[in-house]
Amino acid sequence: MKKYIFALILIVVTCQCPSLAFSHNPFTAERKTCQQAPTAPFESRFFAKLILWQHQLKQKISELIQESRTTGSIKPLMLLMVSAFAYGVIHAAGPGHGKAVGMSFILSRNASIGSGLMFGTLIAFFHGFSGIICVLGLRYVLQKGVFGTLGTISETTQIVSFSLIALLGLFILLKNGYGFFPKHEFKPNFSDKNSKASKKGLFIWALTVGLVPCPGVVMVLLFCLSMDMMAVGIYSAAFISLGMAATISFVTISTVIGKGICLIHFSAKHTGFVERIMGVVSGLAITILGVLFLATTIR
Amino acid sequence: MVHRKCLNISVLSIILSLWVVPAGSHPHVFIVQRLEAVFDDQGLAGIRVRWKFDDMFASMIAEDHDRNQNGRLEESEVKKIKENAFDYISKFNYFVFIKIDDTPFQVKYTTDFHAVLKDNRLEYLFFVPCHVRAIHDVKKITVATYDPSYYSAIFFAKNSPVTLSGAEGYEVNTAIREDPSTTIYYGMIHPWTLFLEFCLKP
Repeated sequence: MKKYIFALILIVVTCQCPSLAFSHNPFTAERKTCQQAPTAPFESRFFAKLILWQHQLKQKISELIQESRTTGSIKPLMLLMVSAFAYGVIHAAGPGHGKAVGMSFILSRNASIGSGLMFGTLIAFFHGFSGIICVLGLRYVLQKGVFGTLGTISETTQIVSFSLIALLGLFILLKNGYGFFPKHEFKPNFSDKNSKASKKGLFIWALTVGLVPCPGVVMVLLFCLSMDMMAVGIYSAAFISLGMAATISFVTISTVIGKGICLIHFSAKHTGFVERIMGVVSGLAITILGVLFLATTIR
Repeated sequence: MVHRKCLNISVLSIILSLWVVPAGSHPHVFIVQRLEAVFDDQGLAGIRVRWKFDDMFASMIAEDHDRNQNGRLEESEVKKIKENAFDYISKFNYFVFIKIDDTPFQVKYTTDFHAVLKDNRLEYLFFVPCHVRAIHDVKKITVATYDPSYYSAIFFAKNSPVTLSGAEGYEVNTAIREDPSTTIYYGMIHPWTLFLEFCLKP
């Protein structure tokens, strides 16, 4: 009985179907639908705290950047490193940043802790890095106003990213669903332990999930550029990304550990079946997430 | 036993990570606001709103709209800011959600918009007309300011968050607290709200 409870927990957790956090700045982009405040399923004091901490940290970061410019001292840069990292950790703890898709994806694979760490870290760095590329590209290559153009870029990258996420989910769903047919022998899916090809796959899918530029990184970088401090901007962006990597990796590693411990409770005979179920559910979750995000973006 | 502990920790960590997620976005813009309840000889005339943005949002606006990069905003630049970085929120009641005796009041327009850039700090000032005639019975008004998508988080200022003007002829009570009857961001946040009560002096 216990083993089925474990399986159920995993499926329920997989089925949470949370969404990523992608929306446009309401000040600078017209929304096609007027969003109404929904009714409350629950409330969260902790979440309110997270918001306040983000506000305080962001203010601290801007003060430290200004101090660094004024004094030319290295001390504010050290504190900036800590603040940017903490901001990244808290920022990624809120909705979005690919945690849900990353978790579902890792759950669908025979992943090691190292793979979980790598996947989480790569998502965060691509998310941050695409923000840097966006800002520098718009400002120095295309010489366009970043603020106005960023909305268009975000929307395009979202459409690409969400389409690929939906396809990824469909692929995982079909691959695992295929194993249910008796004439096809089921092989553990996406075994990525010690597989170079699989690590390459992780890299590509992390790129897919992290493709959308992180607005948090964009704002910090723009702030630094407004004071001719590009190096400090990239330095801050790197530590924010590192902070986000810590949070996202925490989720992916937890998924790997949780799945591993659950599977211990099943006999070798049943392990494959349970893994297949998880694969199907994860694939379904990723597909639904991708389609929902895509529909929201296009609408 | 160790396995069970690890399992509990991992499941809990995943649930905690998902706990905040059935939502669409998180705040990237932070605003500290001051409200002024403006009265005339009839009663409440409206709410004057002053929003002070975080330094990073301010630098983004300055980057695109302070065309001559002189650190100040001229009239033409303010006009552009209104068009490109304010008017879009008209669809969201300008983020000002007013209830008069529990009945929602739709903010269709604002007046006196002005944007100020000083020492790299950006402020928006605008007036929300909302005429409520004062009588001998107490009128109850709530003013909740929030971005329904929560891309922006709006806090009240610590010092003088609310002031009154022209209220000498009325009995007025104000309080700022979270409004449990309103929830945003998929129910995770109750917005901080101005509770305003007024009536004619006996």
